[in-house]
Amino acid sequence: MKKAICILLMLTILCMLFVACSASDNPEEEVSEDEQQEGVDSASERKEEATGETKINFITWRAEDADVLKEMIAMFEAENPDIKVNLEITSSDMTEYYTILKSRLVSNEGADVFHCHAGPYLDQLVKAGYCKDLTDTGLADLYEPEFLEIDVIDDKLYGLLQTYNSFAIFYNLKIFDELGLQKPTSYADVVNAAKVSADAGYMPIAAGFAEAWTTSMLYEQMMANYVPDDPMVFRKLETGEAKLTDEPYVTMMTDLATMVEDGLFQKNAMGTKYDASLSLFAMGEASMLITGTWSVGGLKEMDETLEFGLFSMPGVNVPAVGIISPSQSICVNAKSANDEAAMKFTEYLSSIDAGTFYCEQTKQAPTVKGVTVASPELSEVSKLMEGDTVMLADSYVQDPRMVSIMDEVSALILGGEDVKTSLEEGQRQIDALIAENQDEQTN
Amino acid sequence: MEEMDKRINKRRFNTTYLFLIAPLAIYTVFFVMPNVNSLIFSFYKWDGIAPAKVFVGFDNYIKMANDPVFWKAILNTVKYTVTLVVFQTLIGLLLAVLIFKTSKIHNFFRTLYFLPSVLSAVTVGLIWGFIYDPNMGALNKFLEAIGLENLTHSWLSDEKIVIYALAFVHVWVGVGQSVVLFVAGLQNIPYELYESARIDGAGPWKQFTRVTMPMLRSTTLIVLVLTTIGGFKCFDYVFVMTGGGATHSSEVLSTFLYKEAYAYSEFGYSAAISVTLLIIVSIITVVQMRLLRKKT
Amino acid sequence: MNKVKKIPKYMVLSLFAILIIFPIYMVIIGSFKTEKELYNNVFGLPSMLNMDNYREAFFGGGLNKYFVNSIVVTGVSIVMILLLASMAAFALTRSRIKGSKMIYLLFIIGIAIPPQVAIIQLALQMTNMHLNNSLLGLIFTYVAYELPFSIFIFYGFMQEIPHEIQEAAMIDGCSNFQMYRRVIMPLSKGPVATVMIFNLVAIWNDMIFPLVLISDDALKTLPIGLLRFKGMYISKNTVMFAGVIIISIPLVVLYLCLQKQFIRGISQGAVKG
Repeated sequence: MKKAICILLMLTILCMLFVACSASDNPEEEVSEDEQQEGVDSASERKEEATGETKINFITWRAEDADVLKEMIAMFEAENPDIKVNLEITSSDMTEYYTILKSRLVSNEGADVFHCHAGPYLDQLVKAGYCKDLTDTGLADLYEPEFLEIDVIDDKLYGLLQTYNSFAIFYNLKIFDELGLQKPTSYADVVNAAKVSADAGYMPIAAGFAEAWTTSMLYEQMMANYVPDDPMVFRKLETGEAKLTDEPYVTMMTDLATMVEDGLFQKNAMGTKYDASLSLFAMGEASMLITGTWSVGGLKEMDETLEFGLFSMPGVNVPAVGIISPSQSICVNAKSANDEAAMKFTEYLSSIDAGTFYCEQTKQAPTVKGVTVASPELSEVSKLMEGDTVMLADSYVQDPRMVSIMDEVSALILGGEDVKTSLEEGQRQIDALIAENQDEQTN
Repeated sequence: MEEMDKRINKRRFNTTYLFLIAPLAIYTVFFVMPNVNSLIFSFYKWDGIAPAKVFVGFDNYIKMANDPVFWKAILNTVKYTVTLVVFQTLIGLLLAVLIFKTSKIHNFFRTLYFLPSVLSAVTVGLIWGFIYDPNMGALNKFLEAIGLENLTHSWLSDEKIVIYALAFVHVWVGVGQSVVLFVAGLQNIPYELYESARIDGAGPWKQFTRVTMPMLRSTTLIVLVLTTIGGFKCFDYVFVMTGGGATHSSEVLSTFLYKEAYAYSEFGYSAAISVTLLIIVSIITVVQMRLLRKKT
Repeated sequence: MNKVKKIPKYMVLSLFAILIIFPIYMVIIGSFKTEKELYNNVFGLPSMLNMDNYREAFFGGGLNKYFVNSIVVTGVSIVMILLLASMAAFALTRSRIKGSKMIYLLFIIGIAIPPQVAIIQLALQMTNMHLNNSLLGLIFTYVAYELPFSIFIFYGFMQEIPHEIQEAAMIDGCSNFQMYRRVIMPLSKGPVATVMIFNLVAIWNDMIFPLVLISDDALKTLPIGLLRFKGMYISKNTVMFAGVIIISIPLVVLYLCLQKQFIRGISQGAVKG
């Protein structure tokens, strides 16, 4: 017994020492811990506003942007000395982020300005009355109009898209050179590239379809290729206006099956995790990779010497269009006690200066009017957008289950299930969803 | 003297209540209340943020009965549990029979087999997630190395295999615990019983079936019950390795209820699933008690 | 003859030993490799002993922060559990309180209820109490959830302590508190060790409660921290291996030093439904 306590104590002390040493070795870490302390303090300080200083909280999941956002806040605070902004970065896991955001909103503390995804999440928060209507605030005039519509619900604007991504097939320039391949422009080119790669012992397109959401990178792209003028293509399914077993859904889902048959993806793509697919590409085992433009920075980080190009995936019978996949939108808490300060901060985030700084630093595409960014990483991304561009269709869906059903149907088809039966199964689930939502409304 | 006794008892009576206040308070607030709320909540519909919770009666339970994913989760949970119970009991018994006598080398094996029980489920899940990885994982690489390419699989996405692959990880962790329980049971069997069996001319197999098996009955029962409950409660390994799978191929009750609450904000429905899980586990526990009482 | 007979026995034993050792061996050597090396050579030894993965896991992945959280949560919870469980068991066994049987039953039911049943409700309730996203909330949760089993162990033991000891102490004028501290607790070293070790393993390794109660990155405990840093950076298996080893070392070392107590604690805890 004594022995046990002794060992436990020693271990504890050892760990403490380890941690203490590490903190002094690494000043950055220390800073961040202090800030977290500050975060805790400021929540309690917020209530005593005797100092004449207004404190607002800005909550986001974007850990990768942390440093840039901190600098922007410092600039804002320099201009507005009477406002203090506390940045809270939560988990990068989306389910966790929305859980904490909701709890902050319900308890009305810690979320004056927040980031949210357009689509089902925004819809839910708007319905519960937590998003301020930004329609007549003049903020809308600061953004390129094409990026505003996704945050509009019932003709009212509830969010401001800060940046966007796109889906793409990344291809390894070194391997393509070695195999004498060119950037594919048609479906036949892609099939050829996959075949040549496979014959040379490389994996074709590395795909990590083990996690359901990853299939959306493929079916959303197909949807956009086939019906570029109809952003409501998923919303129609949700309202019952269209059925999954009709066109254009059948054609585009059949494309997925054709791609599998043509051997575009590596063996075991359904069992590969998304992270693993990135590793396979970064290690030069696969000649291509399906992911989003958000991976550009991360892949470079894994291997600085890695060189790659991007192209949008064409449909079997149609050319590709560029996809705009909305990233975070800026929202203001409708019930915030510090509305004025929150609005001032939002205005600042929407300014040309702030927009330029953010996009330059994070290598993200701009949405604020008058912002132009010249960076080599972004030029590849903007090349994707040269032709027609289409807003991601699931941003218009209101129930997160609808997206899950599409993910699942696609996963079934990519996994080799019969297209027709999979679509029928999907439609059955959609019918059940519609019935349930109607029930709810009559209640 | 009697009066003094009473006085002491009275004082004791008063102060012993104080000893119970803190434990009861914490237990009530952080254990009893959430469990009771879970029961109540299963009759409501709430998305976690709307101001009003709507009373819907048995709707959540009706929805559950009509939900194919729920039945898939039940089936998977049962498959997982059966695999776990069969292998953890049989392997545990086999190993225990081999090493129950006290010796240095036996002790070494016992220590080793028990080692995974000390590891966190997250670490075990991450390790085995890597082993099962179809492209980089050790299992496929091993099969290729020994010339069994055609046995390689996408272990965690193949609908027919995944749930067994996951249960196997649980067996890997749990075998050591069954070994310990069986060893304790075996050590309690009086040596004389074997002796008299031998005099009656019983060979090793007969000794095992005539003496060991009947004497191990209650130990076996405990192992069976523990693994059954462990199987129905499984969450950690499934959550870490597959999260239930893209097409619910490895969805079990616990991951299902977690998803309903956090991915779809169906808090009422999630509560109904929890209550169902509770009912299943309670039935197993009650059956266990009955059986144990009968046998001893 | 005897030796030949033993060959199959040791083959079986070794087979399972290899099954246990192999994944552990793979993680240890993998933690020193580069990602590319791991891909090309899973089973072989690393070409050199580089510590980069450990550095990246510990500092880059923030395991140093999570380590402190885990120590605080595990330490405080265990102390509280030991204190409260022994107090409750003392009150329930050593004096005749009305309804003590009922109270004991209320606690014991808790052993059979899986945490998943109320986990979502617990999270909602914590939000209402402003205890979500706090280590204190997590500690209270562990205390509440581990009390039933701990009380069960203490109760079983204290029931066996002969009443003569109590009576003798009473005649000496011992107060209730003195009786608990001076008489009963010093006798209860065995159950204290069992409860301590069982809870040490359970709380240090637990993932489900921090998963739902903690969303602030700065407050995560080790298992969740490890699970999440996998998704945070583009993941490297080798760094993940280093993280696995960092998390596991404290308990594995303790286990090897105190095998008997560990095996007793954990297998008694297995009875917990």
